[in-house]
Parts: sequence; structure tokens; C-alpha cells
Amino acid sequence: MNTILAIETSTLACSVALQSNNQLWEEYKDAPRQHTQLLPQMIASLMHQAQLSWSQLEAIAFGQGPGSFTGLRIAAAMAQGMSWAHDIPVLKVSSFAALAHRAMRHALAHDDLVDKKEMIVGVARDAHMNHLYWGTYRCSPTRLPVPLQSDRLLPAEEKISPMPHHCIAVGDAWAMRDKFPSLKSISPVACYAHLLPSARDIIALADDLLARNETTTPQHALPVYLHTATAWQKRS
Amino acid sequence: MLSSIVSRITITSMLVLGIETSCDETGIALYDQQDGLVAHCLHSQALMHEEYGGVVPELAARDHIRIALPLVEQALNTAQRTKSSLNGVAYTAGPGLVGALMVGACLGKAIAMALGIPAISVHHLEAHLMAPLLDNPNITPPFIALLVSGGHTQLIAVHAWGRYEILGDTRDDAAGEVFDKVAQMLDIGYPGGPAIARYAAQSTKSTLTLPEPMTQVAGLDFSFSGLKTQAMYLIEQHRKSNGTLPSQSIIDIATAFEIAITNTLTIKCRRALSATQYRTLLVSGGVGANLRLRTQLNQLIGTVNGGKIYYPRIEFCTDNGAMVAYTGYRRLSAGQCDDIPVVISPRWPLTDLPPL
Repeated sequence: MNTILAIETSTLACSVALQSNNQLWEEYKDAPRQHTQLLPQMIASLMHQAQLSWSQLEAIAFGQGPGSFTGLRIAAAMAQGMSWAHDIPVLKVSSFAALAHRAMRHALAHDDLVDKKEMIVGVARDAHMNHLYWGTYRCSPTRLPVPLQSDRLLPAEEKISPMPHHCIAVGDAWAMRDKFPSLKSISPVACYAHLLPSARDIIALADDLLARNETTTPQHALPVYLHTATAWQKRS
Repeated sequence: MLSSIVSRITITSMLVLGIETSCDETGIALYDQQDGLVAHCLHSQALMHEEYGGVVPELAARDHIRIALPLVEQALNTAQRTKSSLNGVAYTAGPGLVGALMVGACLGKAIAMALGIPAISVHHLEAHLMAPLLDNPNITPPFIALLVSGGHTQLIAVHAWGRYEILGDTRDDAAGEVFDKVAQMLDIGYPGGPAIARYAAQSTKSTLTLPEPMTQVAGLDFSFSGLKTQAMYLIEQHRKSNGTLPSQSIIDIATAFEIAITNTLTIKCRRALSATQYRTLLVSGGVGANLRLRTQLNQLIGTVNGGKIYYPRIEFCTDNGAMVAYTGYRRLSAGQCDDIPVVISPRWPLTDLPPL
């Protein structure tokens, strides 16, 4: 187990987790618009609890998105600054992979309906501007979420490829199926529209990335917005 | 835990990293207590935003997060310093675009936390007020400051550093904004200030005149939207009677417009000096780079007994990291620093600052 600090602020949840010496510490709070105020204190508090100095960190991980643009930049900027200060590698983790992982944890802990050997998770979140963020993952109790296709941005009306009947649904868009009619064609065995990704899930995925040496530099610790700049109207 | 580290720092020499990301300029600089400004780097997004007809806040923030950290590296390389030699981090915390401010504030805070050094929030307008001090550290209050840029047009009584009184403000557009819009109507490029000045320089006096708004009424407030409309009528008139806009018309209108704005600003500065009996004028912000304005204000100060006038060097008139690093240095030297949370203030009144 590597010593990793993780930040996840792609949604209204603000969370930080720290893994060290087979222990995991986490701070998690649903706190819209308070991320910048809470994060530094949360990070300082975890570093203190774990009795760690910055140079002992082997990597800093953050949820790269998709999600709230501002939230993604808060996590990226914090990760950039801390990793740069001590030349620590950065791990970029999909916030959707983290949410799939959270769904799996939730299913294992609470839901008997789900086939626990292998799960297909459909992650759907409201991307605003009449769009949907969509991701599909395969995971099992012994295997971290693997994307079946890359996380993507879809127009609200666009059809999505069929999902198996035993799939798990996670993400707020599942509670807005009138807005996203394509989700109506899928009947998941379990639906966790209320769950949000947390830094604890980022840690699980980051640990694997670090083992495979898939690190990046602080300068490249950038969000993945999916919405490209073409969404803004240029002057004619 | 962190605050105790902060309080143990003794100030023998201080190197401050300054981060400016409040609008469409990414500015990074290093100010050293002994050697002064040792590096400053600037990335302007102006051309990108021009395609959209104005600053797009989301795109500004996206650019800041890509550019800021590489510029920090560049600044340290230029100054031949290491990150471990930093003693403090200053970042603009407002006023400005919320998403843009957050990038610089979070990056600065994270660097400060991880290095165990203090962080300080800088007020963007106080930084503009301090920009001339980068070259003239002995400027001392009290004085009148004319802060005139694309975002602000204010007359401020600086009674002491940190003790500010807003004497006059614009009721609508900022002066720099009107330069941009008139330049756009004349189709002579962006940013508008230098473009208009370039044309106006080709003529010493215009055959046309434009109104000098709010100079006939008492008070120190400004209003420039009427002037903008008058300029627009004039441009349309010339375009209609000629079928196209002849270059002589562009020169005449640019000259008349520049004269109207600089006369207005000069008249209000004279009133502010006379109302307060202060003898020093400090000019900052992008429009402060305008040569006609500088000439007129120099003449005005020439009429004041014992009068003095200060400007930042031209490159520090517009947004930059140097003024932020310096302002942060001043406040850190006074023993001030931020608590742990990052608090940005998109609407931060200058009068809310603590004394310095």
C-alpha cells in the first residue's frame, strides 16, 4: 500500500482521503460552494492525524472529472501546488470510475439484489446545458472498475447503447429520467442516484495507477471537462 | 499546527511568490526583500477572448490552470531561485471573476501549505495602488489615486496604506471598457487603449468634439456610457456620409474621444486634489499608460505647489503578478497572513482592508 493523498471535489461533496501504513483516513462533507474553504483544513487535519510530513507522500491523486468545472479546477490546483512543492507525482483518476467504485462498495454493503461476482455500472450525471455525462464500468469485489468505454458527454436526447439487465445505476441523472429519456430504456437492478464520488474511492483507483506507474507531473494535473471550448459562441 | 509554523518565521530576508489570476491575465512574479522584483512572467489571454467579443469567465479559468504553474517554474528559473527559498505566497483573492480567482488562490494556498510558509490574500485594487512602488518604494500616503482600467474607474483618497476612501466611481462603464468599445466600433483592433492612442497620435487637435461627461456637475463620480453613445453616432454619421469610414475620420474621432476622456479624468483629479488638499497623485491601471492622459496630469501637478505624480512603469499598468507579489510582501512584512481556509471575494470593497 502506497502513501497517497487524494482529493475529490467534482460534485457538491468535498472529500479528502489519506492512505498510509495500511490505514485510511477520510474527511467527507456535502458542502456546496464551500470547497475552497474546507479543503485546506481537511488536508492539514489528515496529515496531522497520520503524523505524516509532505515528503513522505508517494503520490497525490485527484478526481479529474467529469463534473463541476470549478470543482475540478479546485482539486487540480490544490493537487498541482502540493505535488509541485515536494516533487511528488500526480495520479489523475476519473471521478466516474470513483463513483462506480462507490456504487460497488454500496452494493456489497447494502444490496442483496446485485450479482456480486461481476457488476456492470452505468454512471450518469447531469452535465447541464442539456447534456449528460455517461460512463460504463465493469467491476467485481476483487477487481477495480474498468471502463467499458471512455467517459463521455452526450446530448440529453441521444440514445445510449443497451446495458445488461443486472447493471447497477449510479449518479444524479438516474433521478431525472424525464430530462434524460435515453435512461428510461435501461432497467437496472439497483439505482443509487444519490451517491457521490469520494476521495476514498479515488485512493483505491490511485493505488492501482501508481503500481502501474501511470503518474503525471504537477503541470499536467489538469481537469477533464469533456465540454470543449466550442460550447461557447464566438463573435460572428 | 500550520499557524504555529507561520508564527515562528522570522523576517530576515523574504522572497514572496505573487499570483494574479483575477481576470484574463495570468501573472506570476517573485519579489525579494533585498533584491526587489527578481522575476515576473505574464500570459495574456486577450486574443483568445477577442474572438468571443469579451472575456468568457469559464475559458479564462481554464487558461489560468494550464498556465499558472508553468509560469511559476519559469519565474523561479529566471530568478535562479529554488522553491525551497520561498518565504511566502501572495495571491489575488478579489475582486474579480470567481472561477479565475479560485485557480490562483487554490494553487497559491496549496504551495504555501506544502512548503509550510504563510499565504496572504491580496486585494486586486490595492495591488494596482502599490504597482508604482515597485520602482519608487518611497511613495508615502497621503495622496490621491486615480485607478483607471478596463474594470475600474475610481478616485481614491489613500490616507494611509490600508486606509482607503473611495471619492469617486463610475456609474456605468469603466474608462478602459469604453476605449475597447469605441475601438471596436472604429474597427481598429483590441485592446482599444493602444489602438485609439495610435490613431490619436496622428493628430494634435481634432476638428470634432465629444462631451466631457459629468464635468459640469459637482462631484467626483464618472459616467462614460453617454460618451460611448455619442462616439457611436459620430462614427455612424461619418460612415453614412462617406459610404465607408475614411482614415481621416478614424483619426479625428479617436482624437476627439481620447481628448474627452483624458480631459474628464484630469478635471476630476484636480477636484479630488483640491477637496482633500493632498498634493500627490498616483495613477494606476491600464488607461494610466495613455500618454495624453499622462501629459495632462503632469501639467495639472505642475500647477500644485509641491505637487508630485507617480505612475507604474508601463508594463505594470495592466494586470500583473509583480504588484501582487509586492503587495503580499508588504502585508506579510507587517505580520499579516491568512488563516487556513481559502476565501476568495469576487466583490471585495477596498475599504474593508485592514490597515497596513
